[in-house]
Amino acid sequence: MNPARQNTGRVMQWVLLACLPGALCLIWFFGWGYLINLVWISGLALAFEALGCALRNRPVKPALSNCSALVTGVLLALALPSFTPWWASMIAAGFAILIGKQLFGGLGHNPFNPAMLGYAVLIIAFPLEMATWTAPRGIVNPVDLPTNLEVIFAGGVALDAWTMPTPLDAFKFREGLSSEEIWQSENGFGSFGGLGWEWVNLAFLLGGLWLLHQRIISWHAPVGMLAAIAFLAVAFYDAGSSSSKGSPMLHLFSGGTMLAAFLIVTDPASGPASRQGQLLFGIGAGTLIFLIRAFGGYPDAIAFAVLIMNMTTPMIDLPIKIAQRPK
Amino acid sequence: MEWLFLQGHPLLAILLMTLLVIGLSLALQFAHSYYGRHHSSDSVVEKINALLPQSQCAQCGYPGCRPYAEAVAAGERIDQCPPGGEQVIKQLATLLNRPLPDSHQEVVTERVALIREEDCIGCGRCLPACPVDAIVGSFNYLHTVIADECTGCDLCLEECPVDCIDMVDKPNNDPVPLNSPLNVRNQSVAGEDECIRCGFCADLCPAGLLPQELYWYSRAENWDRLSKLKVTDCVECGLCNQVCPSQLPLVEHFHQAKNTLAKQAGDRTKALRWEARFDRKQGRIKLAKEAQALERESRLSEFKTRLKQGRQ
Repeated sequence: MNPARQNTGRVMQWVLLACLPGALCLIWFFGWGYLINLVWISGLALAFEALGCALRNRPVKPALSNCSALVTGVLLALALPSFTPWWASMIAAGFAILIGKQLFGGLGHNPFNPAMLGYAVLIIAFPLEMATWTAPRGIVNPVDLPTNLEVIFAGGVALDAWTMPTPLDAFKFREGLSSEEIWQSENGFGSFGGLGWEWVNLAFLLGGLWLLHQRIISWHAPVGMLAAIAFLAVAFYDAGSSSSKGSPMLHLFSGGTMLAAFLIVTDPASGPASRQGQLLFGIGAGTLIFLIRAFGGYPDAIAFAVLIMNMTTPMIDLPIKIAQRPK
Repeated sequence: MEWLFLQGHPLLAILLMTLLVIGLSLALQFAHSYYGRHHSSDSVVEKINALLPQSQCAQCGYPGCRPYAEAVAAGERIDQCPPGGEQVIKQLATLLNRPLPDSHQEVVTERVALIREEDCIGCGRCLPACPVDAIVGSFNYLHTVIADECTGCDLCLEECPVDCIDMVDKPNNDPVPLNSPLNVRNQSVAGEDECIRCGFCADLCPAGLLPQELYWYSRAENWDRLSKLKVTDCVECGLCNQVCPSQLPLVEHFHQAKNTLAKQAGDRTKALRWEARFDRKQGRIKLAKEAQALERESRLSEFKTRLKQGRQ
């Protein structure tokens, strides 16, 4: 009997452990903001979960002890920019837990991924705050802890010295430069992905592979998503001209790709239950991510892609389940 | 962009749209007839009758279960059958897509009639009252009720002039009745962990079943769907219980689902038998009436002939 899967709380704790390498990389490269957000948003998520349970007349302690709200909070904190103001992250956490999860009936009943729901709300309602990404270590030294606290909770700090577009953003809106030129001129690019971001994605990849090894998640959704992104990136690759959509390495190791592949599309409640369905879900999510990144209006598209695929989950699952039913 | 020529030819556009609509509706009809061919061709009355318990007790106000089925198909309330209880109300509501009525019926314990032999005077008035001919005995001789055939309708009680018939509870073979606190569905689910739809249980089931689906349908008490999903194939090995991260009592749910399905199958067998006996009794009464009328007719005509002969 796999001890990792003994109860839901244990499963969630292993997921949190798998987030640890990625979280540490984010804190190292992009500053204290991620740590502050981890504490702040996780606390908020737990508080909102307790509030939701109380409103629904359900016992609070079991709901908190299965750590699912904690995982949602942690994923939100790892996805949001580190300079997100406290009120914006509070709105995201409240939306994610109260509307994305509790309203639908709590654990296991949510049709949408709660963290992605919170993220999507912020990206549409507060586009300026969500476009304020931190510059990585190597370009500037990250701000110290007191200043970072001030940025998040007080606001009003001039941030221009510490912010820059993400690599995907810079690549998408490079206005006529070829891939090679943007890679040389813009100093937000690293060896094969974004500066700092490539390490973050590697760390999440490691965490995800470890989750696979522990058989907490299955390979279908991550492989589907990464294969779809890689395949489409190769298909649209034109050796880095000025209208190139990006190399496979850039797509796989920038932004939130690895985080999404192993920790977002593998959410059991909002994704299909059948293994083949999870593969299709991953492929669909990867396709949408690439298409929105390449042809859509947003530099990173994980939240919208995942939410759209969540809507199609019952449609994916039903024919597979019907085929699997005993005759 | 060559479809833009339609802008200058509105009649052509209308014609094309009409053809499109006709084509699509034909396609839909074909799809329905091809994919919907498994729909049963039973009439609605047959389907309703198949859900009723066939006790022929007339508590609904109709002289038997089939007349009530016909009335329900015509719009009668679906909560008039006490022996069917809440289960029949729910099944009728699902079948006919009608709202559940507000009245809440308790689960009826099954009862059978028992004639106290020392008090029975053998008058035989209970015999015609029983709709399924479950009482045996001749006039002036002792009468008794065949317990297996008794539907518990208690129509015989009011006929007995010496009040020698009692209704006694039938011994219940169901180990965990639906309304018992031991039933896993009646145990509090608040505080229990929820199904997180991880799918671990389906990976493991040696019988090739889908425990996650069986669990949801068991919670919903959807017996029809449970039987289609072959919950009766479950060998209760317990692997799904072991692997479930939320530690749900899956095997207990399936065990009770199987019990309920077995009970329903037994009830259905009994119901068919009762219906057959009721129909046979109705036929017998009708034949007897016809024979009687024929006999009377022949005796009358014979009398008339003899009268005519006598006058001559």
